[in-house]
Amino acid sequence: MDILSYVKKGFVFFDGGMGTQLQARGMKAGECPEMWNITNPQAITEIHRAYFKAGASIATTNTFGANPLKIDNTEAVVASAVENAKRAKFAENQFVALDIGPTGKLLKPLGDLDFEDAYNAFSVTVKAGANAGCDLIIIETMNDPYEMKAAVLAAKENSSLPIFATFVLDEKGKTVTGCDIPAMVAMLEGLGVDALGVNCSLGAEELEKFVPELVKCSSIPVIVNPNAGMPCVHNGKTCYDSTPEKFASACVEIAKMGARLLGGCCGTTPEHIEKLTRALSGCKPLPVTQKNDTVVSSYSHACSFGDKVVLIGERINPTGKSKLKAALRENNLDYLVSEAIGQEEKGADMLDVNVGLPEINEGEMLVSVIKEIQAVSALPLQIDTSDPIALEGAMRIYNGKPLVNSVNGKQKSMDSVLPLVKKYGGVVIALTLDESGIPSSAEGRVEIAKRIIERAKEYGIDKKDIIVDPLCLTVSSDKNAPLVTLKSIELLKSMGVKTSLGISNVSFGLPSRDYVNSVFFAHALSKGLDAVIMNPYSFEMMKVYYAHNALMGIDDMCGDYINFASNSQSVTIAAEVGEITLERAILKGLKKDAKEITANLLKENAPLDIVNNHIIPALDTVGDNYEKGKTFLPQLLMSAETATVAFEVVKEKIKGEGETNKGEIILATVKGDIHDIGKNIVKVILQNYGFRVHDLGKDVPPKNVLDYAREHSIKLIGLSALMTTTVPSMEETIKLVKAELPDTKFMVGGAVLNKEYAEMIGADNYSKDAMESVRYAQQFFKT
Amino acid sequence: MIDIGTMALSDITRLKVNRGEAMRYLGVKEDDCSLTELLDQGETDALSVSSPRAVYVKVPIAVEGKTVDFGFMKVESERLVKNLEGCNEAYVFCATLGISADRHYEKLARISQARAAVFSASCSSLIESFCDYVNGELARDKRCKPRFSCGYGDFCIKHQADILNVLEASKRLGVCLTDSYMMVPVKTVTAVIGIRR
Repeated sequence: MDILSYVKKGFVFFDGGMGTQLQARGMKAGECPEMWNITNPQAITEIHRAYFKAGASIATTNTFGANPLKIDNTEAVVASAVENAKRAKFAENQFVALDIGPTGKLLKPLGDLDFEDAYNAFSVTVKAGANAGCDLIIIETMNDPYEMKAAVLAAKENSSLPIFATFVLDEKGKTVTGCDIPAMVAMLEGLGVDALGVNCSLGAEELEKFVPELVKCSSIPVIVNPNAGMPCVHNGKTCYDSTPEKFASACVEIAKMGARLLGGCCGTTPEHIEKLTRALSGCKPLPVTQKNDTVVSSYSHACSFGDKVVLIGERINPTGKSKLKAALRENNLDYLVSEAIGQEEKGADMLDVNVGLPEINEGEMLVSVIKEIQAVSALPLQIDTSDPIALEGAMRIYNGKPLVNSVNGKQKSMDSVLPLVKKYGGVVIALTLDESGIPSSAEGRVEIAKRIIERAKEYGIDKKDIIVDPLCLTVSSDKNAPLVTLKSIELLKSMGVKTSLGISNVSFGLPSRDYVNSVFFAHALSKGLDAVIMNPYSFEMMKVYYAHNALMGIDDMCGDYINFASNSQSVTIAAEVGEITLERAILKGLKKDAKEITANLLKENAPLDIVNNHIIPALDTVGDNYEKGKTFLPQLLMSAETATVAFEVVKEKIKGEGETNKGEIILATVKGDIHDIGKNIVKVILQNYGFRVHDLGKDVPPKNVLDYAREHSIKLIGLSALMTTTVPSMEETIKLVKAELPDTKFMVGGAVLNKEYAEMIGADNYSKDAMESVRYAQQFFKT
Repeated sequence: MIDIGTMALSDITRLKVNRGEAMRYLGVKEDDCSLTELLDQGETDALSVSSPRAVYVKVPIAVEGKTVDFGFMKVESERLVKNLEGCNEAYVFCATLGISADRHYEKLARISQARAAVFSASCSSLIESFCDYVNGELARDKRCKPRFSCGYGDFCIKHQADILNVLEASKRLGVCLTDSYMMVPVKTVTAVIGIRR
């Protein structure tokens, strides 16, 4: 019998801890446990056999750290490990699980391991395990959903073995990276693992309280492999405080809650497993039930469709937005990310991400933008593209289970999008149009929806993972169009299908579109609309949203409504400006005032006069005060940001004409360095003084700096390094660039540098702070 | 008996951001009131996004010449030898504010460098307060030496890997090391505390 059929029959038992067993057999602290597969194969087989004898059905190979990022000769170690476990089998229904643990590195952008490098490392282990003939793969002790995703993809793409996956919870029921249970379940089920659950970190008694939520979210068998209580150390060896009896009785409670696969992690012994298997012998597990929730997820939480309408922010889409188009062309991802943060603050539940512009590489851009956004925003994303290659790239690196926008009734669309939704997991928006266009009747649109749902089913995609958008045509060209849309929602709802709508098309061509949009939104809500793609900055739309929730009993004590209403009032009051000058606003860092005053000044003054007579003098004062020690870094930055606000207002007026560009400068934090606070500070100050900064980010390889400098013919480069361990990369970068482009100049800064050190590594200038880099740049460009 | 343990602070209000220290990190000599709001915000943010956690072990140590043997690592460092004079045991701990602080910094860095810099300084002060707390708990009823951090003086930063390894910091705290020996989350500290005989 294969493992999956065996799981269908009843409880299945994992083995227990490996580390304490190895220590008991003489492994010393600091020794590499995986090497024992080769040096002491007999001992490893003995341990596996002891667990099989105790009643375990699954032996987990001694390969927790066996990946090329941690050890040499991974293949040989894994092959021996699988062999050692296979040798321990003595009866039917004993299986060998290839054990895959975390790499011990944090993935980019917060850490320094690339997603694909993690994937490659896991792939080496998977291939070796599959070749050696293991029966299944268990990916375990994962803290980070992103690393988990890399491991699952490696397992899926390099073997056809069943995949089990377990993650680690802290005492609050989340991973240490902040991922909750529903989010982890949504992602893992989407990726198509065969069983999922938790292991390690806590004892059975402490884990018990999280099992109900795990079972409630999951439509596949649940695994719970706890530690033997909490750790302590006796005579240099780690011990755990839970006896086999206590462990087994807590596990019985966990089994009663619906866990189907049970075993042990750190500190558990064959005795723990024996007590456990005995306690449950003859018992039947609860059935695994299919859940019908429509759920997407981010790295931190899940967003489910059905209770409250889900607000999907539409602002990251170049259509009709010149600033966003410009940002995409200039690779200014900061602008896109700030749009994400802004929409999140306005109350969006999810964000649509569309970066399709004819003149850019959409696939590459979509991946970069999603990586950036998911590093700072906890909101789940809707990947919006019509290019299947771009879609696949984005779904692959997305940290969670995404919403895909969109598939439609055309054969070509279904054939290209649905397989991706199946492979990577996701919920997909289905547009009710096909080769013949958009049907004019509600019934016609529902027919297309049915066809897409049927086709998806053939791919193994459940109805719950499809949200139908019945489309909304313009009321000014067809007075009945909104009614057809509303009727479609009604029909779809009666079939138990979730619905979504991009609202704003309805008002195309009309004045004051927000009025029409918001009333249409209210009507759609009354029909049971589940999600809306909209502008979270639209006050009219948000009014409807909060008032609707309050009226429909889904806003407890009207709390959200009251909060919304009171905040909108305070905005109006804060907008009243007192008697202050633009100079003073900049000096004091008063952004709102600076904006209004600049707008007022523009009524009577030429834009460039405002820059030359107000903004620049104010900045000079701030810079002087800083250099004289009268004001400090935070004030310098606040003034810089305020001046930026004033510049923006002026720029709007002159629309790019007469824009100042005093010189182009590359800034980068060097390879190996992931602290970019210094570089970020220098950037904003340089920009303020009129320099155009090309920010290459952090952890930048020397070659990237060279390539960029060459391609854009930039002669001044600023580098930052924070640690003594990364200064060599700085030196390497300078040497490389100067060898190829000898007339390039370097200014450098960072905590561990000084003037002498800077000279030693070949830099042309040491900038002890942001203002010094401005002075050097001014001297360089002779401004 | 030697112990290994974890500490999490569910009640973060027991910690304080030391404003003077945060200002010192920022190079601010005095606040003429124009920074008060910004500093308040930084402190509030630091306290609300952090989840302070620590892991420690207590190990026997042996000093020979310029080398301290911790059992799991041998450290050659004159300053550490001096620091651990008169000790035959030591605590080794790792304390962190958690990855949410890194995410929040990244977020602020896209909105306002002033807020980002102040937040970062507030977090630096907060992790020091948390280390004081951990230190205080560990040193209770014992005569301990001042804590000494890896990477400080001649205590080579490469030992960071040994320390994180023995503490299982990656699994227990989510603390990882980059190839250039930087710890992530960024607001993380490791240190040794000598226990006097």
